[in-house]
Amino acid sequence: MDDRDKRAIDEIQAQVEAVQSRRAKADGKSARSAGRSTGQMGLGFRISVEMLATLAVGTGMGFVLDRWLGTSPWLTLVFLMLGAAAGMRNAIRVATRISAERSKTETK
Amino acid sequence: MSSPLDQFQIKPIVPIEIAGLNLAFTNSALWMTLAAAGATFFLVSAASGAKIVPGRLQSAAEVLYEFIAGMVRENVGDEGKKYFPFFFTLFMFVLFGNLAGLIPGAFTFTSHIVVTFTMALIIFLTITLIGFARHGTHFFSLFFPSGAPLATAPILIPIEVISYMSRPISLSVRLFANMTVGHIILKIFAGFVISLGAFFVIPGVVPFSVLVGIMALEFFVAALQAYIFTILACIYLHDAIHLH
Repeated sequence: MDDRDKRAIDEIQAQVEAVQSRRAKADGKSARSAGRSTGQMGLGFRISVEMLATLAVGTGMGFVLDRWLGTSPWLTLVFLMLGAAAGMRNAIRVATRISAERSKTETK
Repeated sequence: MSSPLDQFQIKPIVPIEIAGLNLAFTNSALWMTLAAAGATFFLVSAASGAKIVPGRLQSAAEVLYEFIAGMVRENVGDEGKKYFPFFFTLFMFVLFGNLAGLIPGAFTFTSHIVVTFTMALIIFLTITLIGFARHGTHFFSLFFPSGAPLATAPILIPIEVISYMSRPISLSVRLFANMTVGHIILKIFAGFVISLGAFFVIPGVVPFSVLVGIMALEFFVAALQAYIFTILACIYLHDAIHLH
């Protein structure tokens, strides 16, 4: 390999590095903005699904227990309340986990 | 014009009936088979000519593999390594199902709650069994946060049990709702293109350009929902292994 080849290789290397650093910067930017724009709606949807699902499961459990024990409508009411409480708890749990993740990626 | 919900209709392709049960091979089953076969073909052909410097196909497969491996390592920990094949299969199946559904004329099996709920139920039962196998009856401590006063147990335990039982529902509803809504929106905008375009040609361009944008968004949603489905399964497994 003579001197000219070496210089050509160095030149190519510099070009590759320039492209890589530019791409890394662009990736970081687009990933962040994409995470934000879909993140907000996705977040709202995720938490609302969590709350609704727990409420439905709670009420369903109460309803089944009522039919089984013949205590209609009392257990349905109790489990409706418990389901709502569990939904709140789930929503808070998801929100704290996501905010912990966000603060971790932002400091990075 | 056909209704935007027509695309979700299950149609039998090969009618099979065993002991009064309708076990027909439907369009849904066909696309499930295609998704599984497509994922297998993609990974096998990427791995068959494996080189140290990967080609395009091999890099794509490696990116997916490392992505899920990293997800399992971060969310489950080192104990999660032996469950990696399960999560990788799950991710590839859902991803290929979502993406195959975007082919015009294809059937999206992830847009049916029966399918997503069955998958979520399998995940839920497997993870519960893993929890019991690792911790025995100690697994029940998951339903009572340590440090809470004993007097709160009658309220806290039902709340925790309900929130645990709701996991397969929230997991399946999220995937199903996202896929269904996306496909309905696509169909409605496609209907606008035809009805406006038949009037004059120019107004049809407007919904068409929106349609192109939504199509791109749907590709993103397809990948994102496969990711969320898998990462939530990872988080549930983490809870079952580490119990808080």
